[in-house]
Amino acid sequence: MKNIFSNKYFILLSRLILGVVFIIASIDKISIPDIFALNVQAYKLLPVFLVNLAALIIPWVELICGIFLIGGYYVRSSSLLLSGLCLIFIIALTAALSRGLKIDCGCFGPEHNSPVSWMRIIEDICLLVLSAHIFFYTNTLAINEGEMTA
Amino acid sequence: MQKTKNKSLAREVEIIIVISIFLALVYNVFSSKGIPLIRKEIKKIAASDSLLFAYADQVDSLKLMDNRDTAIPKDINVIAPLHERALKNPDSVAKLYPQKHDPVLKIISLEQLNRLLAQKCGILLDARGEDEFEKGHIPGAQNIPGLEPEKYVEQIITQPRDTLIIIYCNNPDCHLAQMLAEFLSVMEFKNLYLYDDGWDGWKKAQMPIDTSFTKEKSR
Repeated sequence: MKNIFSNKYFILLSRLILGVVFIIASIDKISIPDIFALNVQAYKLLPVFLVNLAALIIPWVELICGIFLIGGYYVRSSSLLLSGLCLIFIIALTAALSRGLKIDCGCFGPEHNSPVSWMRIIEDICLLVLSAHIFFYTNTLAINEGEMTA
Repeated sequence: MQKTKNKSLAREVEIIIVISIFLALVYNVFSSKGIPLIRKEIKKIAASDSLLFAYADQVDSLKLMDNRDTAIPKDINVIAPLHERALKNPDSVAKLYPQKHDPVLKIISLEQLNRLLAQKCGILLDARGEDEFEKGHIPGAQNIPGLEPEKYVEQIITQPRDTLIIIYCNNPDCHLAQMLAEFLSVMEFKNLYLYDDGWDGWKKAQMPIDTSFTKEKSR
């Protein structure tokens, strides 16, 4: 079982999927920051003065990590950061749902009209699993290879 | 071994975050759609009757308001009366916010909305999505979803820019009306008002609901 997960093609596939998803998700947010800021504000989790900073920086972290994942640089740290982002998104979505906020998710940027729902949380959990997979098994792969070459 | 690994991992995370922040700031400076780094809270201020009904003098408007109150069933509490949330003295607002650049949304009460509707003043815009609009809306409203106003712009583009426009969405927490208001103010519409209690407030006050919807009619 462990072999399947640590199979390098399987990890490559995870990296490509995660990278592409996050790059697509970041582009709209970067191109229309004012509307994305409104999306962020609608969650009512951040104090208003921090909303714009979060709306500016989060999409760039997504983009850079996505590019690194596909390019194969800084793979573990990128997947760690993306897991962190996924966790934050899951918490934010759950908070919004439990408070009954009728707001737009903003998940894939403002152009995609998708209200907050359990489906969005499930999507984020899937992304979290993918990034956790990359994080944990990239490590073991590197060690195994190191042992083999040593 | 493990320690050095964790250290280099933390270092990489730091590098990625620094690169992201740097690019975000640089892009924001040079982008035509750049936003201020520190967001200012949008002030919601109650629109005074004298502002809304400029032609009627204060005494007449008070009388009219009394008559109009019969339109709302007496025993029903309209949720969170607007003027409690907003500033108490709307006319002092100009002194409080002398700079035009401060983001300000002028909000109107159910009474004021009813009066405007009765007088067929201005345009009423529903900023919710098409699906929700179809299920029911305030009679006389046109649908321009706040998420994609540019697709519906032809409904409004021919209007004079000083037309009185009232926008609503679900409730005070709903950001769609705010998005539409920002879009319209970019289009240089100057006379924008927000019915803040929105669809939820309208339903709670048991006001009449329009469920008719045809695309031809709304376009």
